[in-house]
Amino acid sequence: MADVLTHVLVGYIVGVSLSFRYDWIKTEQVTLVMLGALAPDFMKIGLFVPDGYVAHLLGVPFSWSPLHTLVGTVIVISLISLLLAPEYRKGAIILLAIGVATHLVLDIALLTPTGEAYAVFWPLSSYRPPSGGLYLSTDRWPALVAATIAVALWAGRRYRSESAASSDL
Amino acid sequence: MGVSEPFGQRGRLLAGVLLFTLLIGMLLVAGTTANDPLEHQYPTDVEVTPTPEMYVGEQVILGGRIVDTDPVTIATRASGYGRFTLVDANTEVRNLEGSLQTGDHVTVFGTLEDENTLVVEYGLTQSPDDRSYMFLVSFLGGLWVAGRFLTGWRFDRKTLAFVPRADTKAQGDDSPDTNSRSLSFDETDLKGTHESKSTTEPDRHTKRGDR
Repeated sequence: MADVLTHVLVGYIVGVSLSFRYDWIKTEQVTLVMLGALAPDFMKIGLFVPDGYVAHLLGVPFSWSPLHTLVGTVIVISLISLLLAPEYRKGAIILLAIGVATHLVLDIALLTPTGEAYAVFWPLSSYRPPSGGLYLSTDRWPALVAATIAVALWAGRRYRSESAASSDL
Repeated sequence: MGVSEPFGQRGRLLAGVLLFTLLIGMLLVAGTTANDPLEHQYPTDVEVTPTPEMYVGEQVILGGRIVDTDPVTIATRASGYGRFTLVDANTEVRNLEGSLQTGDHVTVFGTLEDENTLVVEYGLTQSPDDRSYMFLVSFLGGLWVAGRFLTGWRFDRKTLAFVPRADTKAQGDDSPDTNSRSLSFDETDLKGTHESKSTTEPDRHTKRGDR
């Protein structure tokens, strides 16, 4: 799992890039892409409430891992979209899904000890795609690269809205 | 107010309960499966160290600290216990610059040739110190999204749902189409809101991330 900051920065980059193209994507909608990019890491709740502890409380085996799979994230983003007002739901599902997709791709690109990624399609399939072997979750450069691009886009977006505002006057 | 709930609040609640039940079901099923989606399917040093003879000829994952470099040997336990000689570690460990040094931490995958020799097929080296960096920036990433969501969206008590704060002024507009709704705002006003938010948030957080 790449670090959460890298995921969220990539969500920001994708969200802002889309906002240049689609006018309905505003700051709030960019946040939804970022939320989608964060969503699979809701499983990190396991760091605070471990699987074993929940299993002990419930008396049955338990694992947070499905939150990080394709099917699990589809359910999670559907639940998030239900919390939003209906007129924003369709757009939210699209943007959350885009965010989730960036997350899953970034995590499959990670370097793993075996050269295999995790079973992203579970429970539909236990196939483990080959991992990209590009970086470790503890590497610092992915966040640095993402942050640099994010700052450039943020500046570009600001410049764009400023020039649009001045042309309106 | 905007579009009403397509299936009413009851339909919405029902959908939420169904999805939530499905999700919990998945978490419970995953608990029972021996094949956890996020875990590797191979025995690790936890199982292999006490009884290596049971795993000879099998593919296993061993994690540990390098205690000798000629030949490359790891200890899987901090005590120095659980020693395995690694064959081809210097060529198969992927993110290695130069060769492995005593004290490096590695996680290697390969076939256990005999009770204390692993033929390495793949592996990585990772400093345990980097984990605190990862936890810190991950926490910041989470806070950033939470902060943006809470400043960008508000809970509307009438519809029992989150709506963008910027849309509060457009409440009189009943157009059901999201696109035309958004476009019907006072453009300059909206840009002003964007600007004030974006000038502070990404900058502040990306700077922290640079550390």
